[in-house]
Amino acid sequence: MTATATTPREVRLELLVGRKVFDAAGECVGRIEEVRAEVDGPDHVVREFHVGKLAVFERLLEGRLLRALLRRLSGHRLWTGYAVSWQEMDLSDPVRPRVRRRKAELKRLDA
Amino acid sequence: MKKIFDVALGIVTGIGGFLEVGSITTAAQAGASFGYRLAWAVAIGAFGLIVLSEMSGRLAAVSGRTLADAMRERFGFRFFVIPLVVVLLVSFLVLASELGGVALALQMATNVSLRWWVLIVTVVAWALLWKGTFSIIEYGTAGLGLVALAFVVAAVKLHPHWGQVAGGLVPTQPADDRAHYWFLAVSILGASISPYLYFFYSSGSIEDEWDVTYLKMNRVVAGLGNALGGLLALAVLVVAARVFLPRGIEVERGEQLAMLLSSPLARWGFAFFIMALGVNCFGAATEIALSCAYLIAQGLGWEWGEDAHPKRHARYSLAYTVLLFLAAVPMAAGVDPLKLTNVSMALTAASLPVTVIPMIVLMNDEALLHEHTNKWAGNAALAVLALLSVVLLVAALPLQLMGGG
Amino acid sequence: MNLVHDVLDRVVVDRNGQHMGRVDGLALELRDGAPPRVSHVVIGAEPAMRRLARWLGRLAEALGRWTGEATRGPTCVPWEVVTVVGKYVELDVEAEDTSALALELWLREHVVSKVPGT
Repeated sequence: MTATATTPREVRLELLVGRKVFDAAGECVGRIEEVRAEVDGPDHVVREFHVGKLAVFERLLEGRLLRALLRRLSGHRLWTGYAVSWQEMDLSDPVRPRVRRRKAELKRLDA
Repeated sequence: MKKIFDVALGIVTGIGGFLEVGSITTAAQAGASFGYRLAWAVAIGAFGLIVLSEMSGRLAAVSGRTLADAMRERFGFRFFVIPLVVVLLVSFLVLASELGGVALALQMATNVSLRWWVLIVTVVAWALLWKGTFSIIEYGTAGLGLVALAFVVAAVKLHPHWGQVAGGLVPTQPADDRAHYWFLAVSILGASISPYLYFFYSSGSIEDEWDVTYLKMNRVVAGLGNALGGLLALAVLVVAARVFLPRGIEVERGEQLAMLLSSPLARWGFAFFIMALGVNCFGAATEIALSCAYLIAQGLGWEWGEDAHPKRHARYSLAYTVLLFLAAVPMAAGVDPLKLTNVSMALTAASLPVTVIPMIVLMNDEALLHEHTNKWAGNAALAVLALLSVVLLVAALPLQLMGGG
Repeated sequence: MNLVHDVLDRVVVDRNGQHMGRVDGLALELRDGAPPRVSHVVIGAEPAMRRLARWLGRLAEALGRWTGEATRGPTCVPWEVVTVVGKYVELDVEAEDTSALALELWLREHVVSKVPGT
């Protein structure tokens, strides 16, 4: 596909899920796991994208027991997740979503 | 009153669901080759099915979702296709085996080749489903299938050493023929813990509109139905141990199975055996065909139901149609029903991780189950089963190659 | 609302409770200076297969073209007609007015009706 100047007006959420996101410095932030939307007048609009391993668990583990397990794991460096606001997320190339900031500046998810 | 009737009906269908070509064949082979030594595998199989049925029933009653619904919604389509494809594949093989079981029973009764019988059986099974008469088939085969109680009568008549039978509940390894021993253990577990059974059970709970008031009934039906089914399989094993083992007969051909009852119960025994095998396999075949159609329909969001009419539910009806007729092909082509059964049961055992492990997540999900999530005992049982399922996955293929022959 | 957890993969029903499939995809409209808007609910084999692998999506698309009217492209329903997001995603439409049941209707007419005794 040739790159054109116009940004696609439509992206498909189901294809965004599971995509790796890179930050402004090219560092991998994690995969998009959840997309949070809110009512805005007649519409539902996207507020933030949840990225990273912790976001998977946040989506899957709704039990007290598994959550407790998750909380233990989330203390560990491996289990991190970020909430990326819609302004921070650059979807002009939906195959390679990018965050406009550095990973360290992003809001961390807490378990 | 209605609930008592439902409980009884549930238990009877549970027993019928348990006993089919797989559990009869594997239990008979185990008894013939190893006496009571593999009784533990039957017990663990029944326990596993009790746990998974109770949980699928509870999930359905509380969340209003079948197991397939919950799997797709929680894990998404990318994950869901794995259990979908795996369960369809192994269920297809089991379905082919069940059709073989009915045809084998008819062959024994008539001396007409099972390769012809399988075609007739398939057309009849399909026509009954197409006409939307599954509930009649289900209760009919479950009721008639109780003739399998003849195995219990036979077991008692053969005066087994009950102490030794109980001793078989503790796993011990035989001195030789170990590969065959462990292969049979895997096959028995696969024959008992069949995914189509608990997927079907959760669908049935939705069709009967269970809610939280049915949880106690769910526990009784799942527990007693499968425990009694397991007891019947154990009776088959005991009979085989008394009939085949002393004579040094290994079960290699389907016809030999009739000796199980014709030996202790004489002429009537033969008729009982033919009926027990034929009716229970027929019931299982229709149940598997529907269970697969349910799984596809639920996974893709189509309407489904045992009495769904083809005119209004074309995709769903054609799903079980295609499956049934394809499943008749192996038998019609001359595949040995016993061999196919053994392979199907081992593969079923190997398929368990993809359905059991996700259940750990589902059964702890408070959004689905509210205060009815698993407690520690349920989670412990599920963890043991998940571990067992992984062992089975790893062990099934090598054992099939070493001890399956 | 969590679009993945609460919407994606749920059963879609029409205003009469008729099942239309599952939410196989959701279209987001990107806007300059405003947050992305959920624009369409997408139902169909092609978007579902596309989620597994690009080539499977293309295969489903090719099959759809080959079989013709029965599976003509995915069904895209504007988000405005969504009335409830709960156990089901409920739409204020008639299933028959969309293409969600195209395959079902085609099979009823061309296959099921030709089966003797139906």
